[in-house]
Amino acid sequence: MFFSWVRLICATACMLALLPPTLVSAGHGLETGKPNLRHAGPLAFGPDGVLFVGDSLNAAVYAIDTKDTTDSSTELAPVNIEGVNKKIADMVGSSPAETVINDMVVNPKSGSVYLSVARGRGPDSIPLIFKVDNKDRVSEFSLGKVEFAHAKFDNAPKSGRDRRGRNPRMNAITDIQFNSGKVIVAGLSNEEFASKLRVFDFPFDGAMSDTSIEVYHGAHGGLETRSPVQTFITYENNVLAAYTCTPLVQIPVGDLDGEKTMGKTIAELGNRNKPLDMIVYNKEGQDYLLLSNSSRGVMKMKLSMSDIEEVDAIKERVGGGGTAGLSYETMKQFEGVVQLDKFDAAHAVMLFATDSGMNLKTVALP
Amino acid sequence: MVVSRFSQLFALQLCVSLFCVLFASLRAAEVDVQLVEISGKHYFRVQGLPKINTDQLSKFFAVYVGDATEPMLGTYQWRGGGVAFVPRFPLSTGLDYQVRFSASLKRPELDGKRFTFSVARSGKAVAAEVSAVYPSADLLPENLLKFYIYFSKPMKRGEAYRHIQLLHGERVVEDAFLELGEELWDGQQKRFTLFVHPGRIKRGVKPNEDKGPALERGREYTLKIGSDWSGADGATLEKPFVKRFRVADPDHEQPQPHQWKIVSPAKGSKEPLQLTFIEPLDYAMLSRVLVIYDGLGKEVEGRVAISNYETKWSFTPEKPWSAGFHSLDVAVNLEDRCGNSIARPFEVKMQERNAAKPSTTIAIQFRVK
Repeated sequence: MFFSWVRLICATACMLALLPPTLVSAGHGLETGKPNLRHAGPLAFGPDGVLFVGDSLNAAVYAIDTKDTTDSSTELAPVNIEGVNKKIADMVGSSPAETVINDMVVNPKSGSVYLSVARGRGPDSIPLIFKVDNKDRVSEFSLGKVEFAHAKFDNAPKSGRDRRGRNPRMNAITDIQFNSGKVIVAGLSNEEFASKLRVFDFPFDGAMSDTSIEVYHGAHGGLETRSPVQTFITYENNVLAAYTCTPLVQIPVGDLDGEKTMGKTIAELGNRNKPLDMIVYNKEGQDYLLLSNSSRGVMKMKLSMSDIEEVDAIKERVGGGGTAGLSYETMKQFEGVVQLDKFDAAHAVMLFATDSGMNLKTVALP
Repeated sequence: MVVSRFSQLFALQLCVSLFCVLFASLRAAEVDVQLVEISGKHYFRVQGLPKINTDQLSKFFAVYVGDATEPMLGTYQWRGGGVAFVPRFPLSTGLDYQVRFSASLKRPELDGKRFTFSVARSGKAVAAEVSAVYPSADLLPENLLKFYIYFSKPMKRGEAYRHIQLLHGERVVEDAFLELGEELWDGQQKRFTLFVHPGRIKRGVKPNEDKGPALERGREYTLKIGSDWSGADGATLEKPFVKRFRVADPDHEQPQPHQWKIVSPAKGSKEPLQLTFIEPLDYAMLSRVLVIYDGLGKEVEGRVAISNYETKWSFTPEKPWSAGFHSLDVAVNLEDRCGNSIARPFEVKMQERNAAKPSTTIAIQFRVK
C-alpha cells in the first residue's frame, strides 16, 4: 500500500514535470513560459505590475507579470543615471550606437523604471527589457521564464502565397496605454496608409476592436484621416492622441468599437513637429498634460473635461504654422526629452537625449 | 572481492590527488586567459584560478567592453579545470573585450591586469545596394504618397531618414517625408516604406502649408539615398542611389476594378492570368491582396509578376488551370500610388465622409475555357 502511494506520487510528479511550462496558469490569464518576443517596442503598465510590450514584428501585444509590486507608498528615491544607454550597452557587450532604447515607463506599483531595448539594429536584433530600481541599479529583466500572455492583431496573411513565404506587411506599433481593463494600441501599416486604434480586453480573451480614426488637421486644412497617432494618453475615459504636425485629438474610449470614428481636434500645436510622449498629472487640484516634442520642446497644457468639451473643434485651416484650440506653455527647462512618465504625485521620470548620451532623471512636475 | 574494490578506490583517489597537485602547481605559476570559439559561440577561458564557487568568481574577474565601467552580463562556469565566462549575448566584431582582474583576488600579481580580445569578422562584408524603388515610373503624380525602397541585403534600423533626401535641382526639399520613430520595414529589413509627409502633399485646390507641397507639377526631382547607410552587417551601401523623376498632374481617382482588362488563360495550361490596370497601383499590395479561387472555392496557388510600371499583373499557377468560373478576390484597401483605395479616395472632405463600413473584398469572376 505504501509503495502504491509512493508510485502514485512519483508518477504524478513525473507527469507534472513533463507538462510544458506554458500550461501552468497564473493570474490575469497569464501562463508561465518564455514569450517569443521579436521586438520590444512601446511599453505600458497595467494592473499588479503587469507590463505590456508592443511587438511590431509579431503584430502582438505581450502582457508580462514583472512581479515587481513592492509597496511604493513610502517616499521613492529619485532616479538619476547619466548615460543610461552606455551603461546598458556595456552590460550587453555592445556599443551605444547598437543599443537602442525604444520606450521607458515607470511601474506605478514600485517606482522602478522599465526600458524596452533592442540589442542591435538589424533584423536579428535581440529584444530586451531593462529595469532601473530606486537605487539606480540597472538590471536585465529576464524574459526566460515569466508569466505572460499575448494578443495578436488580425494580421494573418490572407493568401497561401504569404503563408508560404515571408509576409512583408507589418503593423508598426506607435504607442500603448492601459485604461480600465482595456489595452489600447496605436499603429499603422507599412503598406496601405491605414492608422488604427485597436482595443483588447485584459485579461486577453481573443476579442479585439479595430477602429480607424479620422481627424481634422488644422495645419493641413483637410481630413487627415489615416495619419498615424504618434503618442497618446487616456484621460477620463478619453484617448488624447497627438499626431505629426501636431493636432491633439480627443476620442472617447467608448467610440473605439470597431466602427470608423471622428476624433475632435481640441488643439493645434504647430507644424514641423513630431510629438514624442505625454503624461497627465494633477497639481494643486488642477490637471495638466505634459507633451514632449521633436522640435517644440515640452509643452504644458491645463486640462479639464469641461475645457475639452467646451473648446470648439478645429475644423478650419490653421495657417502660418500656428496654433489653435486649448493653449499651452513651453517648459524651457526641459530640453531633449524623448520619453517621460509619471514617477509619483509630484515627479516625472524623463529620458533626455544629449550629445553625450541618454540621461534618465527624476524631475519635479512643473 | 571487497579488498579488490578497496584497492581500486584507493588507486583512483591516489591518481586524483596526484592530478590535483600537478594542476595546482600549474595554476600557481600564472593564469592563462583565452577567448575560445566553438561553433561561432565565444567564451572567455581563465585557467589557473583557485577553485572557488562560481557565484564568487565575479569578484575575481569580469569582462568589459573596452574601457566600460559596467561589466558584461554572462555566467561563470567551471569547465575542464578552468573558468569559462560565457557572455549573455554574442560578441560583436569591431569592439574590444577586456578580461579584468580585481584586487579582491588573493593573487596580488594579477590585480588590475587586463587581457584584451576582439572578434574577427567571418568573411568580408559585402556592401548592400538599392535593388529597386517603386513606383518604378519616372513620371509621378503630384500627390504621390509613398515609395518602397528595396535593398539587396538587410539594413540597419534607426537611421533611414538621415540617408534619404528629396532634391529639386540642388535644393533639398525640407520635411518632405513622414518620419516615424518606428521605421516602416518588412521583417527582413530589406524593404523600407517611405511616406511623403501628408502635410506636404498637394491637395485639391492649393497647397495647404506655408512651405508648399513637396512635389509640384512640371518640376523634376531626385530621390537620393546616401551611400553611408549601413547594412545589418555593418557594411555601408556600395554607392549612392538616385531616382530622377518628373511630376505630373495629381491623381484623385480611385482604382476601378470593373475597368481592368482581364485575359483569361486556357484550361489545362499554365498560362498566366493577366490583368491590365488603367493606372499604376501599389507595388507591394499588388503582390499580396489579389487572390484567385477556383470553382470549388479553393485558393489557386501560383506566382505573381508585376510589370509595365505597375500597370500589369499576371498570375502563373503552379498546376494547370481547371475549366470553369474562377473568382479573383481583390481587397478593397488596394491603393494606387497616391493612397486612393478602391474603398475610398485619399482625400475626403468632411461633408463627403461616408460612415458606411465597406466590405473588405470584391470578387471579379473570370472563366477558364
